[in-house]
Parts: sequence; C-alpha cells; structure tokens
Amino acid sequence: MRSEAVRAAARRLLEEGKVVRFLGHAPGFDPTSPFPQLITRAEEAERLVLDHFCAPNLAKYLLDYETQEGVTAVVLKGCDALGLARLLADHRVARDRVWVVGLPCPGMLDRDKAAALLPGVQEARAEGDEFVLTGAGGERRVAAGQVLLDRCLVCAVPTPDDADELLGEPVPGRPVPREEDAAVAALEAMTSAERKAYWTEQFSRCIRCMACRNVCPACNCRSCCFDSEEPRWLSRVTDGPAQEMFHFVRALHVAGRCVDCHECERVCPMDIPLMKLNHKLLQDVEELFELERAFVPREVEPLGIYRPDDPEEFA
Amino acid sequence: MNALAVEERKAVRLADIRPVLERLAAGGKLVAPVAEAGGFAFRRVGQAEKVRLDFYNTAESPKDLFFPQSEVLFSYDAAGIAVPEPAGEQVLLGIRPCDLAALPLLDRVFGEGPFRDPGYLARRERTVLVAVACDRPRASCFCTSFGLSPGHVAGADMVLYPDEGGYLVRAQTEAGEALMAEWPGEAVAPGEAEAVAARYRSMETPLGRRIRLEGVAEALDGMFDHPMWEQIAARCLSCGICTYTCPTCHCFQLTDEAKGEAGKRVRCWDSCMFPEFTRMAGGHNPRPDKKARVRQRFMHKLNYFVRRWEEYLCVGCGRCVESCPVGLDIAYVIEAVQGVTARA
Repeated sequence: MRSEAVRAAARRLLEEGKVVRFLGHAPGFDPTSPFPQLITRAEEAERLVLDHFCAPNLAKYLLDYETQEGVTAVVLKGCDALGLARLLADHRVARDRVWVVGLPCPGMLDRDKAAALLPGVQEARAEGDEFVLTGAGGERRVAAGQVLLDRCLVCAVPTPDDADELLGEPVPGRPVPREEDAAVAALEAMTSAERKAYWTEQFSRCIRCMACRNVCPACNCRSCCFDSEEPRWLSRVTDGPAQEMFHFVRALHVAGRCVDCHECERVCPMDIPLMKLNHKLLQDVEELFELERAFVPREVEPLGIYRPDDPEEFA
Repeated sequence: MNALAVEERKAVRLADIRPVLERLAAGGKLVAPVAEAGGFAFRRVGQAEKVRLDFYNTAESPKDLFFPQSEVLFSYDAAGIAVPEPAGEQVLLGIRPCDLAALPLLDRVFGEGPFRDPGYLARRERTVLVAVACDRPRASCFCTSFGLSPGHVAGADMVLYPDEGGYLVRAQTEAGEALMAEWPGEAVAPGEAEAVAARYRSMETPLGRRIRLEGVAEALDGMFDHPMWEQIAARCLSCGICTYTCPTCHCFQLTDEAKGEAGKRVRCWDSCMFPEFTRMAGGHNPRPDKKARVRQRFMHKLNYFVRRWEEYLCVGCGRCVESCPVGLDIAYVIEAVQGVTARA
C-alpha cells in the first residue's frame, strides 16, 4: 500500500539526521501479522512495510525512548495520532522529540476476518469500497465492511491532524453511525443483575495478561497500581472478585481519557468487549460535562480537575 | 500409566462420536473444548453437545487443568490450617499433540528433583488423557521443528484420529483401554489403526514451517550481551500473553491473602515479562528493563532449560505467535540466533 513511501521517508529522515530512530512496521511470521520495527540506519529502511495489516498503534512505544537522546520518527494513523495526543497532553512525550510520519489511513483489516474469508490470506489491496484478498487459496473480492477492523468501520479521524509529513493525500472520515451507542444502550437496558452476570462471564475469561493496559495510550502512568506489590492493591487470583476489580479500575482510570482507538480490544487474546465499558464511560463524560467528542485529548480532563465549587459533595 | 505395545492396542471406528461424549459428560468428569465468546477453550462439560473438536486451537493451553492459574495451597484461621482436598478424577478430551508434548516438560519441573508438587502430580495422575490427532494445524504452527507432528500422541491414554468422516479411536494404555471397554464401535485391526496413526505422524504443518534448531542453545551461551536483544525487545509490548497462553511456561508467585485472623496462601501464574517479576524485597530489580525481560523468556526456553533438561521449552504450538498483538515470533528469534551464528 504505502511501503515504498514509508521506506523513502525513513531513508530521508535518517540520512538528513532529522531523526535518530524510526519506528515503523516490518513483515512478521506471516504478512497479515506485521511487527513493530525500530531502525536507526538509512540502509535498514528496506525492512519496513506499510500495508492494510499494520493495525498496531506505535505511539505507546515512544515511552521507551523518553530518556534517550534524539528525535524519534514514528508512523501513525489517525487513531494512533490520538494516542500520541494523549501522551502529549499528559506530558509523557515532548512534541519536539517526535517526528510524526502520518498515514492517511484507508482502514486496517482484521486478520481473523480476513483469514475466515480467505484461508491462507497473505495480501490485501483496496479497490474502491472493496478489498481484494490474495493468498494460497487464490483471490477473493470482499466488501470493505466485511473485512475491516470494527473500529475502522466507524473511524472519524483516519488522517492524523498533527503530522510533520503525510504519506499521501488526507482521507475523509467515514460518517460515524455510533454503533457503540446501541451497544451501550443494550447494556443500560439490562437489570443490574443481568449486567452483573454479563460482565462476570466476560471477565471470567480474563487471564490478566495486561495487554489491554500496556497497549493503551491513556494508561501511561510511570508506575501502575496493578503492579504494586507493597501494598498489593490487586490480587492476582483470577477466579474471584479481583477480576472485576481489575477491569473496573482499568476502565475508570481511563474514563474521559480514552481516545477510542480500540487497541485494548484488538490485543485481548480472550476477546473481552472492553470498548463497551470504555464507550459507556466516554458517553457519561460527554453528557455529564457537556463535551463534544470526549475522546479528543485535553491537557486537563473533566475527572482531573478539582474545583471548590463542585456540585458533588464527594469530589 | 502402563503403555500397551502397538499390536496390543485396541481400536474401534466410530461414525458418530456423540454417544461416547454423552457417556463421558454424564460421568461429570469430562473436560473438553467448547466454543465461547472468546474462542475455543477447555472447560468442564456437562452436556455432550457442547463439545467441539472442529477448531484450530484453543486460545489458552490446557495447562491450567494441571497447573491452575490460581490455586489455594492452604487456608488458615484461628482454629488451624486446612489443606484443600486433592483433585478428583477427570477425563481430558481433545488435547492436541503440541499440548500433550508440553506435559512431560512440566512433569520435569513439578515432578522431578527434591521438590515435587503434590497438587500437580495428583492432577496428572488422576487425569485420563484422550488426545485428538491434529487435523487442523494453523499457519503459525511449527511442532515438526521439535520432532513432533500432528500425529504425536505419546503420553495419551487414548487417541481419536479423525478419519473417513468419523473417528478411529485407539487405546494406548490400560487406563485408555478401560475407558474404551464401555464404548460402542466397530473393531479395527491393529495394522489398519497403525496405518492411520502413521499417516498423521508424517503430516506436515500447513506452511511446512520448520525452524532449524541445531546449535541454537550452544550459540545462545555466548549471546547474553548481544545487541540482537535490543532489536527484539523494541517490538515487545511487555504483556504476558505469550507466557500465559504457552503450554510450557510455568513460573508462579506465592502470596498470602489475609483478612483479620484468617487467610490463604495462593499460588498464581506469574510472567517473566512483568517488571515486578524479579523485583526483590529491598526494591532492587536484576531485570530492570524490557530487554532483560525479553531476553530471559527466550533464554529460558532455548538455553537454560536445555542446559538443565536437554530439551527445548517449546513445542511449536504457535500460540505466542498467533496471540502476540505485535507479531513477535519465537521462530523469528531462533532465526535471528541462527543468523548471528552464520555471520560469526
């Protein structure tokens, strides 16, 4: 898709000395599973790829270089750039230490959906509102809606708005039908006993791998309450109430700070619908504090403010 | 369990496996793969119709049945100490060759040497293993690299071979034979059964993914400080998916969960990917960064365990490859090690 463009950008930036490292994607064990690739020399640029399977958000990796010298270039899609905006608003990354190579994103494919549509799929190219999948099993043309990641189907911000350079022309956002509203409404329509049963069942699958936290750009604390041994706020026991404790604390800690990137849901090996919780909290913040698009990062978030005249006694 | 010689192994052909599953499920001891919202998983099954054998692999390995993610070792209160009853009997149906091959590796850790784990050993002993030969390997599978195959069924009491639209079922131990004695089915001659078994043993994984392992453990002896680890670690998200879904990873932590005068000592899985895994009481952490932790995982699997037990701590099930949200592949690491040796 944009592999040549990203290689050229990496080569140029590293040769000109504008950046000392470049974070992009490289082919993984199979082309539908690329991994993040760090390069530091222009001749390594050949390793990079940028295609419809580059779903991982690289913004969080910027924290790995916060104490290292030099500017880091990073390839970001629109959703990833909101993640960077979160890190900037939280003062975890300084803008002048990052060079954003923005991808106007045509949407990323869900590798499970793609594999179900064409077993052995190795490649995908966009043609209008369709994707052509190719692989050992031949070729198959599918509608974008069948194969894109759920998050891409409702993406409002495919093009990073704060990029230092763009790999291509900006892409218009898809009209957002707010399907998540329906999912949240369905949860709200349940009785509290039903809701409790629903989440208990979902959380019972959780293996506490922490991938949802680790990938989340809003979960950027230097030390996390879940890791604390002394005191131990969270029990490691996975067949008791600590499951709920973990999930509700995680969701509440990103309430009003979630950038709606859906990475937590993508990485979850147990397919727990974490975005339902996040969306509920985003909607609450939106309504209670009368904010539009609650997921656009702000330096001070509604739940991070203390005001003596707060109408809530508890605040 | 006493293994039977190949020519003594009884085998039957079942066009329909349901009556057998019903019988096993009715006994209340059946653990088998079921489909749930998050994919396929091994669960205790009460109704036979829930059992599914048409899956690629479960997201988690069945190691939890022997080495539970959370296990109460004992509880206490003012009256004294109580140790939980040892596990009861169970039938684990549907375990795949890769996961089956992981059990002898866990046996070494929990069952050999001066410290043996009674809970683990009781669960191993009281579990009848009904393996299913693998007719659905995935692109990420590489069991053949470890001398295994979709037909590797050593250690199973009984094996189900998907064959001719039904199953050829073969007993491998006395326990398997005892279980099978109650089963319907048309008897199959030992030669015919062996031919089916041999066909599975010679099967390749779909991508024919084979990783050269020669010299890997030896090469790693001198690579502790190799810059390669920086590159590999740069990709890692530091989550525990790889270690928790792995059928061979077995690290744990012990904690006391106390409230007032009562409490319990619990053993829970732990992961070398987590920063606090090696944090000591005084605050010092000998593996302070991601590089040290990523290196530990691969060194343990490909070097330390080999030095200790002369076997790799990996069976090529492909779960870590499949589930890693950032595509970090152990086969890639092995190839990187080979690349370093090739350049040396």
